[in-house]
Amino acid sequence: VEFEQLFHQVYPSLLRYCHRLAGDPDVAEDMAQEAFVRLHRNGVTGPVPALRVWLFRVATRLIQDRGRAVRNRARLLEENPVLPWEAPDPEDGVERDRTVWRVRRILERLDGRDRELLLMREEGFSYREMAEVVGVAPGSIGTLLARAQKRFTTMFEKEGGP
Amino acid sequence: MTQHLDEGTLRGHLDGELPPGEAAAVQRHLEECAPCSLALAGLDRAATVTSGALALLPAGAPHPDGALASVLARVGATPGAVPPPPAAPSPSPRFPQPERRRPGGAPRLPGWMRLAAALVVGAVGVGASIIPGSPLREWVDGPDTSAAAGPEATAAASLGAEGGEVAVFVAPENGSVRIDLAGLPPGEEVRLEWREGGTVGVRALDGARFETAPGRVHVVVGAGGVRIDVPRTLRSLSVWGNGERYLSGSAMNPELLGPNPLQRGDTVVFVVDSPSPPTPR
Repeated sequence: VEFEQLFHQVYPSLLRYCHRLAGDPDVAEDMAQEAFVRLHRNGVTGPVPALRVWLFRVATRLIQDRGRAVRNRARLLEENPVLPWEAPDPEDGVERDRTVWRVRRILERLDGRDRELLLMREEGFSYREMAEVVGVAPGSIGTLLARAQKRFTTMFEKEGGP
Repeated sequence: MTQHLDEGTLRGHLDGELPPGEAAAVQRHLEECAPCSLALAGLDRAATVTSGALALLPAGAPHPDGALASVLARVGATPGAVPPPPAAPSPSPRFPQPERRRPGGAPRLPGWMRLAAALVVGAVGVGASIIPGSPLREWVDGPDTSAAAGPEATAAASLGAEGGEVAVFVAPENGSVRIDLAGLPPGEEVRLEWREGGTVGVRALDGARFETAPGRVHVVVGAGGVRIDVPRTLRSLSVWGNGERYLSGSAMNPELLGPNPLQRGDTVVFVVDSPSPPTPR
């Protein structure tokens, strides 16, 4: 029952974070659920804020690992092209909104840590919690976050803003 | 504190992450240091732009059917019978929640107005003396200035101005009262005068020029708006734009002024999301 309560409290935020980080709703759902499965299987317990950080850290690693696998596959395809690579069609499906597509593209161009910090901030994480997830000293989060926001804003405005 | 503040400290100050003693020292420094105040405004703007853009991204279904059942099935557990608890605590009040954004994504407002609008979203107890039943006095008098209690409200006046629309926002912020002037055309001259009550912080973006004297600041606006932070003890403040008075009164009872809507056809608009919608005078 405690597990279910935790699920209801954290899952929506974790799913949103994973969706924005991975850019794919199916992957996001898989990763968010996998994090909960690992929490249960490993018997991790503690206060909800600590478990929330644990879940976000695991989900972040899962998405990072998947990203590496995807990049490796893309590299292999580049070296041995089978089909021409195409940019996602901004008029297609969920990403038909061109601004959304631009935001998505900027996020992908950012450093992984910048991306994670920006998205965790949107989920209301404190500096201490963000530091735990990305593995840096809490005292450096302000600087890292400020620079990530400036980099994002510069790229966003360079591409025409909203 | 004589050196300029680094951006990590400024970011931490904006996010309320500094220890109280350090936050007070930073605030004092900001009141006297224009470069740091400008840097702070730049960081604030970057955070607002970033947050607004990220909020446009799809966020997934909040509770996809079967997600919990799927997880429980994988770990071999049986679902319990307890109803879902209330939603998790809301993220930082500095950033609007995606769920609380109005349908259709980001507001379609010009740059600084959008920034100012974002800044007042989520503010508590905003008001002005010309709004009957304004919660501002209650907020100022009350011991708790956190953003966690009380009705949510925003107050804004949209003043007709030559060449465009100037928006004036008034909101409590960290124990002071914040006034944002948005939509000011470049080159507009904003003048502030105040008496009795303390130091006024003035920030402007993108090429603004300042002239200061005791109790008076004169700003030639660049490409951005103007932000004014006044202590709640301030007894008298007046703000003019190109010779026209925008605001007058004390921090506790600011009165937003503008072209007379009845005589000149301009509009003065207040948007207050409170349990008892106030009416403009």
